[in-house]
Amino acid sequence: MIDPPPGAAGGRLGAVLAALSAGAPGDLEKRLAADSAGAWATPRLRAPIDAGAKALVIGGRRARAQGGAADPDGLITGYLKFPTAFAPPGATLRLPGSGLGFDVDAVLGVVIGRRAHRVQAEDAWAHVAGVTLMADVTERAVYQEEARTNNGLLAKNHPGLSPLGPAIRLAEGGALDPVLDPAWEISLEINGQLRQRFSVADLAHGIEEVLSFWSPMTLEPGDLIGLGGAIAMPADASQICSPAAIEPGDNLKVFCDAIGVLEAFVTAEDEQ
Amino acid sequence: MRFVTFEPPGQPPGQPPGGGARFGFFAGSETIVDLQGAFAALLAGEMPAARALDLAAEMAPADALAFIQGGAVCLDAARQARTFIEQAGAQARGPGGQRILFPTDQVRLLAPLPRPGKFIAAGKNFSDHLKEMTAGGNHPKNPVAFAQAASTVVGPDSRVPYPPETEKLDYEVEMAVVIGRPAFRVAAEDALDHVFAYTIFNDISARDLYRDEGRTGVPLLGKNLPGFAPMGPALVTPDEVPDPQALGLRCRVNGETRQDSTLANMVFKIADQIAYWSRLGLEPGDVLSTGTPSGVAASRKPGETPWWLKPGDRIEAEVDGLGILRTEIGPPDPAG
Repeated sequence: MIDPPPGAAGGRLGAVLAALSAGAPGDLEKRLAADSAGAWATPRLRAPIDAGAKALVIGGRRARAQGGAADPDGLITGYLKFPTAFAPPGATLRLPGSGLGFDVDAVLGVVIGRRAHRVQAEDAWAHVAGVTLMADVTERAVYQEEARTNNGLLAKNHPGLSPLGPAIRLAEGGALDPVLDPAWEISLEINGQLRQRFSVADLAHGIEEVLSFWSPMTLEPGDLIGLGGAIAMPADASQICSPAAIEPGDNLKVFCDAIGVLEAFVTAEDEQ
Repeated sequence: MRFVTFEPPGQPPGQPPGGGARFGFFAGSETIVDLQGAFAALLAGEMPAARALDLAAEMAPADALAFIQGGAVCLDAARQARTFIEQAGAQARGPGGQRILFPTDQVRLLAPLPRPGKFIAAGKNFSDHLKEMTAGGNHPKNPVAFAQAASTVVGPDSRVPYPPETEKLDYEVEMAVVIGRPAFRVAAEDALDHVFAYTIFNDISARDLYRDEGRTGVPLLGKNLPGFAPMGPALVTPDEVPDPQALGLRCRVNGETRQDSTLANMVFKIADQIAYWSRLGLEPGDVLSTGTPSGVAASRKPGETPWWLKPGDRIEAEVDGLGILRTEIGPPDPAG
């Protein structure tokens, strides 16, 4: 498990992940020790994504209706979150205005370690550095309005509202080892109450397929692909993940035993 | 001022941005000045050369994004460098004797901002374009936009390989704004104060993918295949663009005019778009492109000669006062 060094400036994470993908794991510690002396002293974590990266999250307004399955033509769709949309682990999310009308989804984040351009699905693992967790926060009314013109930009990109972390669990072993265990479960709790749970096996699309499909856009070290509840198709249909409303005063937690616990607290801007 | 990112002569072509690329500006239309070199030369008149080089590296970065993020301090250094060059003349050299002046036709221009921050590209924002693309011609209640991946930005005179994923490749001339000051929830009347510069953007699109993705999600592949964001040729600061909302813009393919309109036809004006998207928190180095007028290839009716781009096509995207951005469509890019 690696916590992003608090001193790491924008771009550093991508460079570290690329170095990892290219070299032996032992190199990482040497590199970090050289680059960020003293940076480990403070415990404050940042969202593990660089300023210049992109996060592509699968799922759209019909993904849930179709039980998460892709378009019959096999088209995978989703939306983009800018790095500015993310909040660090343990953040207090200050929802705009009175803080009403926001939903959250648990998302498994796959972090790219090697530049991927038009890669085949069978080569996907070689480009994956590790996994992390995301609480994907959406402004509901704006999302519905933007969906009318097939755009979903503001709804998903309010600054600092979507927690990411707590850390990146790095791939171990060789490049061909799958990083994701189908048995892993990702859960969302709000105020201690379970609201979403899905296993990696439930996901309608595997990371190999999604990474390959989106790789013509050129995925770079530090970029992130999100697979979440929107495309989870559990055997028990009653377990299909619906977006969970959050409001001021809530404590939200996304967790996976293999990755960690991502926690955040919800307030409203209008509150003192 | 007109800022560029360029490779000096003697640079092996194809070197990635930052591997020898320099940030500079036009002195007249025939000469490009290496900004950091010129500012260092100015300082070297008052201090040891080593100190001049150190200071110049901080105040006049050779990297476009770092320069823009440096705000007023860097802009001021650039103006001082320009004045210095005007007075020093064609003999001006850097502190170590290095060349700092280059004839325009000897350098290779890269995208003036090779790696923007957030890149927000407006859609459905011209009254004439709306009429050609939608049945009702009604505009959305609020500005609509999609995200352009920063990795798709390419520069003037780029060759965009014809992607294997599409059969409907399209062009769109747009004027793009580069943000210079942080903007969060700014009012429209203050919005233009946050602009660092204006430039041209050719929003290359794969219309078949764009339409298919739009059924359940936002445009991703349809707008973000390799080289889909030609930008340039220069970043033109607002003092050279007295009335950005009035500029004419047009697009020609192989010499034939396809688009010919004016920014006055925008539904949401430049200031309104900046104000709206500032809800995301706009930062120096972010780009907001303001939409395209009618005349895109997708607007052709059955029976009309198709206008889809094909390998070998040469596109000229022009915005008055900002220059002409040329792009060529290259041979098909083999898949995989």
